[in-house]
Amino acid sequence: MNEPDERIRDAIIEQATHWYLRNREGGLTAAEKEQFLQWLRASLQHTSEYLAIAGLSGGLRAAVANLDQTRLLRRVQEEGLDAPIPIGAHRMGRPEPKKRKRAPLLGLLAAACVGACAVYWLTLPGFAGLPRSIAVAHGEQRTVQLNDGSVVHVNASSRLRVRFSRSQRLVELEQGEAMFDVAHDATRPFRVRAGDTEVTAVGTEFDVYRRASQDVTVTVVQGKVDVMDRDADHPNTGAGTNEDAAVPVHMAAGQQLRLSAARRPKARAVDVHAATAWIRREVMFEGRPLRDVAEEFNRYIPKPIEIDDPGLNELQVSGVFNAYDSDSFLVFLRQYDVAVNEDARAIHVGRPKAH
Amino acid sequence: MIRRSLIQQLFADHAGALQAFFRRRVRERGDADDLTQEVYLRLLRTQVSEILNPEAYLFTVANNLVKEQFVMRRRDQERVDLTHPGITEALRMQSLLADADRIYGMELEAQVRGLRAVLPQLPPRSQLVLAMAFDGNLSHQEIADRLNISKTMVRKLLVQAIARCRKRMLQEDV
Repeated sequence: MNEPDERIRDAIIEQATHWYLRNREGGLTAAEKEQFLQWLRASLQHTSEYLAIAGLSGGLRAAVANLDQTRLLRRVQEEGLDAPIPIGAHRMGRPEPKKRKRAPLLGLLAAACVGACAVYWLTLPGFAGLPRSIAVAHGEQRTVQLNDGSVVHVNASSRLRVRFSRSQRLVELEQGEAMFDVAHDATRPFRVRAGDTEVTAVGTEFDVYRRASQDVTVTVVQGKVDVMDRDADHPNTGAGTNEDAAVPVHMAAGQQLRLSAARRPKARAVDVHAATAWIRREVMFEGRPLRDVAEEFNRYIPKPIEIDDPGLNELQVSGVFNAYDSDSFLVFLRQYDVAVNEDARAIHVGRPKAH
Repeated sequence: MIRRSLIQQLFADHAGALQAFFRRRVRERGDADDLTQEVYLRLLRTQVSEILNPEAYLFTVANNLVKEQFVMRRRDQERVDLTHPGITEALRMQSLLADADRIYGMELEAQVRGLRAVLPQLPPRSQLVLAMAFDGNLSHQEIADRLNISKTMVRKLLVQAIARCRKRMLQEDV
């Protein structure tokens, strides 16, 4: 290819990329739509390049999933390009415990206040012993870096308390779900309590989900954890009080444990990618009953999905959806033999009326 | 995410079959170039006033053409008359999608391998912005807030990064 051709081609690639991103952002004005259509129609190369860029997006999504955002963030900060932002690294990395500096702390607080969401800082981080609460409202998600360097991704409608001391790092999951990317610290075990369930890790990545029913699900992404079903009468000891309850279950990466009041826990293999899909703002279902799927969506969307016909509760559903886009899910549902109606309060799913 | 059925992919961003198709062009140039040309011609033939959402229109036309092409290809290979009433539309669509799904999976894996080789050559900031936009599904505004830079800067970084990926992929195909 000679040089002018190459320059023209590069310019077309950049224009195509610009329009592709603009379309992803959405909300094009009528004038922009017209401009975009004109650009497409102006030349076969434009149309062709646009489709090629669109075709790159699936691969990009998969390829960037491997990047360690936490590490990249640190490199960007080191190179002094932009203001530091200790929270918001959306993908897990393995942050080393940070030397305490003033700027990241301010950044942390600033970032917590930005985004009109409910992250309440009851106390400043860093004072051992004083608990700190993190509450995330319905439909929100937050990523918080704890002062030991561990990163917590907190899902919608969740609340947790963080109590760090010299001997342990304790997080109490009072409600909802969080994923923990634990910084290594052999002297202070990292413990997550969800009701009577206690998960202990040294340096690992795992997800704990405490449902309204008090069932708790633990998913290990990396490393190993021990799960203990504690005796409720001895909330602080964890082990050794009740012979039956004190046997820890060892879990390895790729395993999931579901604890309910009724059954003894047993770890089983799980699709970690699916179990932690919420991190990517996706919800993923593989042959799950519609009742569960609706409950899952209702954690994110403002208007709840209600199943009016109990006969539909067990309908098996498979798919991958954007957690904040219930519309796409409803379009998908309409493929099944169901009626979807929306009123001011809720989205109703029921049997279609007989014709 | 590589394992995602085509139908889910189509559903997610209308671009599933499209992606397979545009990666195929590398090997089957003539074929795919004809298709691109056909997409373009349909775009020219349609009244501008009828096109409410240009991107959705473009993807729909391209997707339909890709499906038609799959049908024709199968007919050539298997000497099956697809218009014969014995073969139902549902079965035809099913095998079509299974085929597209398989090809899509293979093509996507090849593309992901290519991109994984290119990404480390980009500046860290570009990599970070790409990851936030494509893996984290963050909006440009959210990225701007988190990185404490302007939205315009986010857009600029993304355009640069994606364009560089595309150019690299082109060079490596040649």
